[in-house]
Amino acid sequence: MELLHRIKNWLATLFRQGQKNSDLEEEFEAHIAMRTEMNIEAGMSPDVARKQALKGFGNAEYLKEECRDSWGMRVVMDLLRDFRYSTRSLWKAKGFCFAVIATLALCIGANTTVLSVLYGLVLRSLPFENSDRIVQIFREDDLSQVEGSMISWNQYLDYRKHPHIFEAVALSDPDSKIYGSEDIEGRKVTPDYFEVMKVRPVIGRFFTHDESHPGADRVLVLSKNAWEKYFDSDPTLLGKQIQFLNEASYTIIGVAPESLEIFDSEVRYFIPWIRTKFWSDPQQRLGWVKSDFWARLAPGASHETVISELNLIERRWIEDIASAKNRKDFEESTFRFGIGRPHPLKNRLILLQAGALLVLLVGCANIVNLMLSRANGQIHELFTRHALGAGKTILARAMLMESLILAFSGALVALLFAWGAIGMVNRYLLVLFPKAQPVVLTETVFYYTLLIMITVAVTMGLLPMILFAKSRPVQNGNNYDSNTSASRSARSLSSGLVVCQVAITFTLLVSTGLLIRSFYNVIAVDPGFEAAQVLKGKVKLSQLYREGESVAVITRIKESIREIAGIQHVGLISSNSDTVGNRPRTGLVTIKGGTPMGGNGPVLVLARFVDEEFFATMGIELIQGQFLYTGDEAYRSGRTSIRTSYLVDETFAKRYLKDRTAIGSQISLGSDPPTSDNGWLSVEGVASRANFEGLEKRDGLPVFYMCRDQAPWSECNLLIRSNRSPVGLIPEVRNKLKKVDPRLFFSNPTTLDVELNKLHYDRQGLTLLSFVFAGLSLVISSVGIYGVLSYNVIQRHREIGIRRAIGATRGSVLKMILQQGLEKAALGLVLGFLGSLYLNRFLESMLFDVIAFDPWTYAFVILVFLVVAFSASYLPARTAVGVDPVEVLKVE
Amino acid sequence: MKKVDFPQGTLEMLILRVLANGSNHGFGIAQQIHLLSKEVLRVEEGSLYPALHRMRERAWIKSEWGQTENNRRAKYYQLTAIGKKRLGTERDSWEILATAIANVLGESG
Repeated sequence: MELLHRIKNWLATLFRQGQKNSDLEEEFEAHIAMRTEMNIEAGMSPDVARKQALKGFGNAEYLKEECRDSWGMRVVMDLLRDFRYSTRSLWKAKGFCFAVIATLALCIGANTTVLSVLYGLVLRSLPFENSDRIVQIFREDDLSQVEGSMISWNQYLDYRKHPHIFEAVALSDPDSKIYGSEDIEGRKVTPDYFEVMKVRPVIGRFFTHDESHPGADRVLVLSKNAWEKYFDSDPTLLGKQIQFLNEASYTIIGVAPESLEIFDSEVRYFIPWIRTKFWSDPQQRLGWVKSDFWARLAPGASHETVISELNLIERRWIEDIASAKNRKDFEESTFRFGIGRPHPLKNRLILLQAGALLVLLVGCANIVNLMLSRANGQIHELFTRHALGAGKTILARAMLMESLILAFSGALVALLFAWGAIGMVNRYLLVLFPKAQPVVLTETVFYYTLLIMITVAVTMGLLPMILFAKSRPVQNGNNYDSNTSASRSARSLSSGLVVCQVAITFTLLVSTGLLIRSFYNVIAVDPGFEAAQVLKGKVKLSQLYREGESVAVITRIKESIREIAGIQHVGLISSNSDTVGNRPRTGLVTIKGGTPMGGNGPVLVLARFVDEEFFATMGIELIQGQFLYTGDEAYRSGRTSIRTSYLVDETFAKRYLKDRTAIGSQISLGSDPPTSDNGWLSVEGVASRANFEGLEKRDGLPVFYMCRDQAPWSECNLLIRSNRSPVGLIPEVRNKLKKVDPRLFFSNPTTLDVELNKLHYDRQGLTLLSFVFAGLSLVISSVGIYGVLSYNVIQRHREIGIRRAIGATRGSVLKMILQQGLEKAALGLVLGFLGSLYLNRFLESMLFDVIAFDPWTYAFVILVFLVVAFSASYLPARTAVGVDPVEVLKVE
Repeated sequence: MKKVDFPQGTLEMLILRVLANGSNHGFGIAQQIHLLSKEVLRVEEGSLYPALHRMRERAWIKSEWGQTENNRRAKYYQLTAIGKKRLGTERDSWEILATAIANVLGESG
């Protein structure tokens, strides 16, 4: 209560100073008037009465001052005075202010931007109740490197029975439909998905376990954005039917809250995910599933407990239920459970954040140096003020106030800068993650900026102060001026700071150099296919035709598209994965006779189901053998009308078929050898290497092709190569499809070029930002060297003059100053070199065709540095040479 | 009658005591102290005010503008609950102090 009262008074003092002063005046006046009246009543003349009253009252001015002191006004007044004094003295040093504020703005701004992105994409907690207990569980596997959880349906069903570690578990998987003539995306989820997130529907209800069985599953929950976009937030929508292209209708039963859009800002619906027949076999457990597995941990269950429990559950399954085959597979597998919230950019963003912090350090070192120089120049004034009676605390406060003002202005500009930069980053991110919610400048990040600002302000305010406190005004007071050398501690501190700047900058430059080399190495990789001029889009035939009919339809589609002018090739690829992208379809292949590495187990491959024309469309060449095997047994005997052959790519042949001729090698799909010898398939051809997963995956998974002359798939991607603009073809392709069958739709059109480039945007972004940081750091530290040296020269003006007078040549003075600068730079280089040796290990996963200790990069960076350090030292050295000994001696 | 100066630190207690009779302005308080002390204690009138402002800062008293009988605007001070409690403790410790001092003086005298 008392504190509140006090704060109220303080605020009143601050904002109603004038009012309070006049109140006091009036109160005193009233008192004196009353006393005067009384005195008159006692018989004095008015004049005398007032005089007596005033005398009896005491020294009014002094008393007012005492009253004001009790208001807590002292502090406020002092602060205001400090503020006024500091702004005035800063205003006189505009260049200094500009340098400090600009440095701060760039350094803090960079940090705020990167942190915002890091926070928005990775660190931000989910907008759900007790969100710290919501995790994703996934299998990490040395062999596969596949993204996605790889937790299977049967594992999910099993894990549901362990409430002591999981409050709820759920599976979710992307899904897509065509609504009207628009591709829309949604999610297939198990009913407990909503329990994991602990959300309530906006209206209606979510589906139940009873509704996740075939027959009862035609229910749908709309996302909030879909409800608004397509139904105008109509509250009477529940119970109505929604019709998608070529599908039985769904009943709308509810609307999901907006919070669920955090994973996918364009999600439109949620439908029950039904277990397929495949999973009714309990032996199907360690499959290659790419759904997301979500869990809400039981209260108190730690990540470690969960992992060890899961291992126990798997162990129990292996011992009690698993078949001999599964047991063997399990023993051979290398997987382990992972827990958390994986994000593909996490490590890169953390690297960037580290970079940004280093830049901030370099910037701060510069600012402290600037402050030191300034304090040194001001010290004469400070001592004078001190001698005139200003306490050391008052002087210290004045300096702290200056640094606060500077830091605050810097942070303010930094926030503006970050605001602009985040806008740019968002445009970039939209390409990388089209469905991520945009990054915003959040409160948390704002506080972080504030924290940086205060830390910087206190550091840069306190350091010069400590040095000032150390010096003895009595000894120095008389002969101190800005032309004498600074104190030893101040000088060694500023030299130390410059050395640190150089070291940090060197490390940043080396990292950037390595990243740039890596980037050029990546884009120099031959993709192995011609991405230009190819249009890609999906056609869904499922549920439109009876079995067997779709093959003919696809053939008709291909023929009619060929009628469009300028079309060169129309290839097909089964569409259950990215054609080019980082979510490929992988599979296992067993090789008869094992691999050259000695293993008999299956090998993981990229599986591509294509038609013959796919190779021509993509520009992938046949190196050996043939695309289609004319002697196909099943085809010749008439058991099927579709010819099938199996091809591998160069990498497969080199890696796994080393000692054999690739053609005719016997392989089998899946993890088991076939039951009879007739079951082996022979490799018909070897295709040139195509890096479907992106250029960086040059040495990634080998590719296995199942090539057919006709396409039996219910969903496939059309690849159309033409000599025209691919995007311009879209309407014509759609028209042609409509003519074949009005129900057909060419969806998700894009070009292979775009898809391929997308895979390198994150590396490009990382390299670019790291370049910006390193450049910033280089500029700042060269300014640092220059600043410290030139200030040094000014301070040593007298010394240099005397040196010249007693015989030092111009050359020796030049050498002296240059040497000073280069010595600092050299020491920094050595430290930076050692730092790089240590730090570059964190960069290793980002490097491509470059070793972490690439001598060229190091040599180049050292050269750049020497040039910069030389030029930064040369200018002050020139000034030093210009010192006129006669002038100096005259002054002496 | 002989006039004496205030013992240090007692002014605030006296102000509290005067205000216990009801709200009053600075001039009134000075008069009251003078009267209640049977005209022995005399305050240098202005020195009341720093004490009053200090006490208001501590929320022992509160103030508002009011009218005197002579229709003059003056600031009136009034005890708060905290102030009332404070008066109690000040009085207690004063009594202990006074007795102790009296005892000491009685012994040596």
